Amino acid sequence: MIKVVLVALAMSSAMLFAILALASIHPLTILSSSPYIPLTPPTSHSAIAVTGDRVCYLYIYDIQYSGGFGYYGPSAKPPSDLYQYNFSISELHVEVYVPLGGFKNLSSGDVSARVFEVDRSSAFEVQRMIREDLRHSNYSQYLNIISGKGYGSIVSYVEQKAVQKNICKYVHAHFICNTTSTPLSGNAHIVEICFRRGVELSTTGINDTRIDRLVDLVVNASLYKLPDSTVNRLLPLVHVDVSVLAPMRNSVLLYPKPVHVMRALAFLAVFVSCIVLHYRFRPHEYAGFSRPLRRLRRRIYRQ
Amino acid sequence: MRGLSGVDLRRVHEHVAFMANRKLLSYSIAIIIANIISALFLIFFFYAGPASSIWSSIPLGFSIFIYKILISIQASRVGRELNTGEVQIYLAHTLTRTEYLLSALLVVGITPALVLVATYLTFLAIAAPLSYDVGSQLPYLFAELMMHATIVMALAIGGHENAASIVGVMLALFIGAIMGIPLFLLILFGSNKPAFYVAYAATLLVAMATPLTYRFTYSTIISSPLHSPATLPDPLLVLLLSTAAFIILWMVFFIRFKRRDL
Repeated sequence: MIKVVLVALAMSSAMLFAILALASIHPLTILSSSPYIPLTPPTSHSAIAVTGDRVCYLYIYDIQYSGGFGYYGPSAKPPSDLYQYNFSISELHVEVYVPLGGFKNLSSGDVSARVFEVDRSSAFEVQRMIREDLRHSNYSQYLNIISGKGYGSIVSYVEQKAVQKNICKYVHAHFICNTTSTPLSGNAHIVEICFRRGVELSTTGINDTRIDRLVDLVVNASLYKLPDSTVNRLLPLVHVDVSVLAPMRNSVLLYPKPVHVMRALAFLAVFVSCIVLHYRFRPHEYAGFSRPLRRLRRRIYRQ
Repeated sequence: MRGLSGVDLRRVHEHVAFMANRKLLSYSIAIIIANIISALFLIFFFYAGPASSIWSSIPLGFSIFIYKILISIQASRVGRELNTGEVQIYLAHTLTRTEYLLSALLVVGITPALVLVATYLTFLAIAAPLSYDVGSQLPYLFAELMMHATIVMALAIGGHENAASIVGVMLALFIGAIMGIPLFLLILFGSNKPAFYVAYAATLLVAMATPLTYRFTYSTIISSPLHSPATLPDPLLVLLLSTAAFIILWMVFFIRFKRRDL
């Protein structure tokens, strides 16, 4: 009975030692997946400007990912340090979608859109410049309308600081802009959409449908004595949808540390020593082992 | 070295060593298969954590199945010794009936249970810190194997050598399905009092035969919206009853074996 238990324990530790030793030399990938995670950009700030013959909208999206273990990774702290978790997102795919269905007879020459990727400090600077201009101009209590001059300096600053600049594609009454972003760096995307002043919206609820007139109405709402309900209806003239896909690389490796292998080896040594000790006291129990060993020895000596 | 009731423990030890060693090949095969399964599960499922119970339940289930087969083979061997009269050789000069049955208990029940528990503890000591979730299963594991050994030994002592091995293998294979019937009735007749008591008693009886399997089934049922846990027998109660049952049954075996006409 003692022999059976000792042999079982020695075999268990030997097997575990073999597996762990092998895995420590060649780490074994147990799980590997690369799902796409949809992310929602957390914040947006916008500014509108009537500049020259255009009405331009600026949107700032902070796109950053600070994930790790959690919903997309293992849900709990691993119970053993036998495993190594690799979890990375190399690049975020950003898609900016601008629906323009509410405009009348819109052609590709009437509208343009660009996306700039800027770093965090430049994004803060742009926000500061917008706030500064808003404080001085104070055009409207409803919209972040900035001066044409302020807008010009913001756009030239953005163009100068842009890590990436993408011109968006106009396809059947909407814009699609594909760009990328580096995760964890806190980069922001600035979307600029400009309309020709004469562009008309299909329905506004009031007689005026030209976009520059509508902006003018909102700016001077108090002068024109427009009720709040009308202003609120005019506000969401243009909106921008930003979707972000994060291709994630997720893998779990069986990567035992030397301490695991040493532990298995120590257990093996202890159990083998116990077997040797047991053999000293009760050698007849090991007759089954010694007989084939004796035969093998004889065969070797004969040769 | 005489123990209680005039039992010579040295003689028991010698006979146990003899009985265990003649099945050493079966033991080795069982240990190797159980260890390979455990090691594979350790590799592929342990990263999910013991909270999921996948790692601790599935390989344990396979190991238990293999050890139950081994127990059935050992018990069947005892049955053959009784049938062929081989037992009379042992009883004629060297062993008393109590010593013979005690060594059978040690070889058929306690050794496999001890081997499996010790193997698991070694696995855990090497691979991970022993968590309560896994550690708390070990008494259930011991009781499950002991109850299986008790059932097959009841048949073997009665001289039903083939029945011991067939029933042993069938129980090892289909205990989940056997347990499913009274559990299903218990859930079905939750509000119908007389039928509920019958189903409860049947569930308790089957659960006592296999406490670890019942514990796993219980935790699966209570985590699902099927049934309120209040109406199901508590796994700890099942463990205590199961332990008491196999102790009492083995005492009955000792008394009956002494009076049996060989």
